[in-house]
Amino acid sequence: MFTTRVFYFIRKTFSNIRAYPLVNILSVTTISIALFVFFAYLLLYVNLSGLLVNLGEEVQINIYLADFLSEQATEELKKDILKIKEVEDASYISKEDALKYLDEIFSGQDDVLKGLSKNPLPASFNVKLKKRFTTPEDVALVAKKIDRMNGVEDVVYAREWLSKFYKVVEIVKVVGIVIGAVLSLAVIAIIAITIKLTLLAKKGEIEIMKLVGGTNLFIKVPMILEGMIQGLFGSIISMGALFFIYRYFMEHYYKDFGLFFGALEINFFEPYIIIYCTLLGAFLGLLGSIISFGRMLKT
Amino acid sequence: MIRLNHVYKNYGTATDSLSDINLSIARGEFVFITGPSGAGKTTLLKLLFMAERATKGQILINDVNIGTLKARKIPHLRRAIGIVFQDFKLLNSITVLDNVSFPLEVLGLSRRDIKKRVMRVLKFVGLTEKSNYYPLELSGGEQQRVAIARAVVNEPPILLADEPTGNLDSELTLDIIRLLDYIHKKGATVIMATHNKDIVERFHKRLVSLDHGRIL
Ligand SMILES: Nc1ncnc2c1ncn2[C@@H]1O[C@H](COP(=O)(O)OP(=O)(O)O)[C@@H](O)[C@H]1O
Ligand SMILES: [Mg+2]
Repeated sequence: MFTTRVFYFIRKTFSNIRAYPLVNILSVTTISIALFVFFAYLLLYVNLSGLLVNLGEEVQINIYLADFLSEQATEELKKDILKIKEVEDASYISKEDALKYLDEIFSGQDDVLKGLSKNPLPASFNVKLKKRFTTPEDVALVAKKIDRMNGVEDVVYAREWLSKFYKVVEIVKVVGIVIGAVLSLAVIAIIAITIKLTLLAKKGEIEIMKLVGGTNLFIKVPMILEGMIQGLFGSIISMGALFFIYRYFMEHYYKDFGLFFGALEINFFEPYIIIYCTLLGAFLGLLGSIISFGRMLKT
Repeated sequence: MIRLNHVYKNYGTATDSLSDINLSIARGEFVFITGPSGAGKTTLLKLLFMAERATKGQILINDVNIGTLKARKIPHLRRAIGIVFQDFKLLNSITVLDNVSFPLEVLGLSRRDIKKRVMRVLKFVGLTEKSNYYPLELSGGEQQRVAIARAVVNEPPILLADEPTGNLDSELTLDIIRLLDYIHKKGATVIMATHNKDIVERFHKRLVSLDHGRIL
């Protein structure tokens, strides 16, 4: 009896869809468009926050060393720095390297450096932090720890820039979530309205089914499943469309944009996000049809 | 089996569509409800299957006062009543077979049993060949017979038929009445509304005459 019911509902769902091809095509199209906007936004958001995370990884601390430090002491210092749990890597920049670097920057103005009798630049360590530890507080803490070590002359990092950067990240996060929430409400509303329209098309049929002894549940379940399938197809279609547009963009326009944005990478969703989004479409369809059924079936 | 005590129905208009109806129908009876158009025949039937509720009075079906029936229980009452609607009320988006299957699907019968019973009933109303047609591909008379098939397929103890011969020529009319009579003989209580005097005169059944919402 139970399995009979389940099979009945599944069969009925698909025969409902076949019985109203046009209504279903319209419904799936509308849902696809709504979800496309949402997914496109999500893609933008994911890439933007990925970009910000990458920028965050650039957080560096420069440690200038005292002139008198022996090679061995420098080695010891490096070991000590690497022992700090937040530190990912520390690369040594010798006095000569620093001068070369400066030389490159001032190339063409040779005389600026020629005038110097001896290299005035200190040797330094360029310390990178682990991804997990890049908040302004983490950086300040690491800087303080290193500052206390022997042979360290000065510790420099972009304090201002860092805290501004984190404010930007926070704002982007909050704004992004707000926009995302508004968009998903809009998508739910659009789906609910669309499915309501398909239900209105069936109002007469629902009345008849009730008159010949159909219970609310019996009539409702296939139609609610129908909404779910519309949502599922809508999300598959919109995800597919987004992917092809993404691919097209990357092949034809990315090179120009790429130069503009520097080494900015634009990635498509991870497979697991694609699966979640597709299931989200089905869930929204389900929710939409439950909402739009509302009191429609109450006798 | 069916009892109406001082039943009134008013649709919110100046006159009552039914007034002071007292009626008792025993199990296994065959009753014609006659009267001119607008007399209240359809309204009376609608009260029985709860498409409308009585404004006043009491309706008992199998000793249950349907006025106090919970909304949840209405589908169960309707499964005990086969209804042939004046306007058929077929589901136009599905085939004849699926239309007639519906009352059995509601009951949760297996697909095979459903198909077997539906084909038997379709044979009974002479529509075996049309089982995969859609209602709108059928003539009025054929649609009417689909409506009858759907009403009787689950062998309900009560059959209500509202002008079931309204769209038929006299030949088919007789067929339909014989069909209803057959279902009656198998034990169903049949109530048929009609304004067709010929039918009433030809078949000697109990007669309830309505006019202006009153029993004459
Ligand atoms: N839904 C309704 N709203 C208002 N008046 C109605 C409604 N249904 C029927 N009536 C009125 O009730 C009276 C009886 O109608 P009905 O029961 O359909 O008669 P019959 O079936 O005998 O032709 C008519 O005067 C009709 O106009
Ligand atoms: Mg009528």
